[in-house]
Amino acid sequence: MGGQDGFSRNVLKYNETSNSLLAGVKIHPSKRWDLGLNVTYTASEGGLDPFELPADDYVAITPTTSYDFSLTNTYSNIDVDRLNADAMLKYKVTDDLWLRLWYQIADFSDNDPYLYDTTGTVQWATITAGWSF
Amino acid sequence: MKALRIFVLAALLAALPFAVAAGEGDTTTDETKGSVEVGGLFADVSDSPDMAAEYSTVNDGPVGKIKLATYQNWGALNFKFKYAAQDQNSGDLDFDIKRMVRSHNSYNSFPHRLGHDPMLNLNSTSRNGKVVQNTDFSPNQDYVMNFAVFEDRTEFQFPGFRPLTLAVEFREQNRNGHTQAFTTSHCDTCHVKSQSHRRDQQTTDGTLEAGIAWKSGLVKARYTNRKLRESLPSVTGTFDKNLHPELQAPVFDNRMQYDSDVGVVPVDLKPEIDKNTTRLDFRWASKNGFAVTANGVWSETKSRGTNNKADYSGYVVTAAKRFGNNLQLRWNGKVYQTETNSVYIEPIQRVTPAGPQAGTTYYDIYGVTFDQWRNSALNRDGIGSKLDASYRLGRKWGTIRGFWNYDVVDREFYEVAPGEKKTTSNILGLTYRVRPAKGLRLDAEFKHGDVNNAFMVVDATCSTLVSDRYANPWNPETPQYNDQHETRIADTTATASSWNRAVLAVGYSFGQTTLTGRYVYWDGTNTDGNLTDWSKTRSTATITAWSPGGSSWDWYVGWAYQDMSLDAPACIPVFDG
Repeated sequence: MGGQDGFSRNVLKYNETSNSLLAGVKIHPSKRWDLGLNVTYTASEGGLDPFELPADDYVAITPTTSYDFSLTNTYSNIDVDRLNADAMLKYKVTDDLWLRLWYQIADFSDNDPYLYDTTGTVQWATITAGWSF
Repeated sequence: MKALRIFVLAALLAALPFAVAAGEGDTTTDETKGSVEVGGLFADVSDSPDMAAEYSTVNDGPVGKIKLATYQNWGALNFKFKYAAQDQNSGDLDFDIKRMVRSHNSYNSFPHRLGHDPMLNLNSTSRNGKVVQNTDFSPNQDYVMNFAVFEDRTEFQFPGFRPLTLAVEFREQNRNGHTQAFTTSHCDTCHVKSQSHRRDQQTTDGTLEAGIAWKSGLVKARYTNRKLRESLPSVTGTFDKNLHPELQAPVFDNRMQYDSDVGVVPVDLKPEIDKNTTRLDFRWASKNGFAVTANGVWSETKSRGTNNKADYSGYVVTAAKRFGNNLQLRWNGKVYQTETNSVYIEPIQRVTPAGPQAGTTYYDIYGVTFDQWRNSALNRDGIGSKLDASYRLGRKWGTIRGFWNYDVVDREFYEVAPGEKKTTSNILGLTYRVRPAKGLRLDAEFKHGDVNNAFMVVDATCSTLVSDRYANPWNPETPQYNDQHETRIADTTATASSWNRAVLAVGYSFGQTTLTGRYVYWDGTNTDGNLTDWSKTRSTATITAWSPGGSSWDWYVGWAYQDMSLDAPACIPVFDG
């Protein structure tokens, strides 16, 4: 017991890809109205290729020993996507007085959780009244 | 906010004599405008907010925004403040009194969600009683740190001596909330314990600056004092007793520095730091297109807990000269030195109370103490040089620029290759910028980097140890971890020794629409060390289109892409425990 038989070595290959799309528009249909919309969507994936760290000679003489790395590459997987969108509507009651509605959503999907599932959605809405002088 | 109130009051009091002195004979200016906006914020959370709202509030409540700008005989004031929630607000306050007192102040605060690691990946067991387990003493705690920073710069210029500018700067960064503190006990079990660590951290910078400017130049000196403090005491913990996993007997004490025998001890201790920085700047430009800048920086950073110090001194000179209308040469040189003190480590020689090695220390059995000097890899002398030349080929043919960057890092202790402590890097580059047609712009850049002795950890992995089998693990001849350590042969790195970078950017405007595209390719390798097969390739591309449209609308669309491939070797020792 307690023996070491050198080492096993391999070159690991990791790949990461990310795509983001974004778009936005502001519209002023009349002097009293302002509308705005912004959307961003990002999808990212990353992970190791399957790999082996073979220790065939050692396993042959120590059959009960397992050197199975068939799932180890998946521990580094990243697979997330995120949507951020916001919309704004502003109405000028008079030249100095306005009402504003604002809405935002952030939706995050953790499709391959690591320590814990960070999937979640948060929505915000504000209603405000303003006065300029 | 206390710091903000104190500063605004102090600055206004300091400015009062200047305003009084400047009151006579001025034309009358009186313009004030602003706005007030109030309302409510409603937030809804499904599942985890940790990533969806990592840096945003999720609290309902009132919101408000105020803007105020006034231009008066005595000067100008511009104030903005936005209250989104108790943990998220921001503001700016600028004022200018007769150009004699100019002050810019900003405040920003927001939460940072850190997530709560449930440590589920730390649960495992083996056939012979070896266990990895965890205990969470604060299972319901949300780990959030509230970040707030206040920054001020106020300049004073005296009516009787305009070339002189005095300035004071104040910056206070607060981080308070809770972080997850981990401790690991060994070797009865690998027992990871987690607890909530309540934090209240302040980083305070105070700066005094004096500068004298004349028509063609400037001399400036500044001194900054930084203090990093933790207002709350560290959390405490008790480590498990070192026990053999199967026998549950204290047979390993001579292999461990301490266990439960030290009782309750501080854990997750955060260092408090003092830092003093002095900087001198010089700038001068001649009428014939020659300009030179120079600066020197001296700093001392000290840990209050250990008195360990890091000293830095650096000097930079930049010279630029224009030859005619087409050719420009520029050179930037830098020398610097970083020094930290070495630390002597003398491991405790504990005596094992039970088992075959009872009554002995590790040294008694194996003849090794591991007493050592820890010398910092930061200790170094550095030299840098950046030389570039640009030539304008003409309005139609654009501008070409070539550059050569040369850097040497000569470390005092740390070897980046067997017997080598010096890293030398050369970067050669060429850029070309042209506007071949109306509305069309092209930019291209190519860089090649070559690094001699890139940063590497020598003999970091791949232990070649081949040992005998021993029926009795207490046999003093059994290989130890340090034997495994000393037989490693592979050098590891995450730094390229040779790399290329290419950039192509295009911009095209037609009508009211602008299209831009940019592609960046980077490829680097390092096979210089033993078994160091490291390589990385990265591509990024962006395409955007935007249009101001007309007076009634505007729009934009964009796409961004990134791809990265990394090859790096991994080693495992082949052994049966």
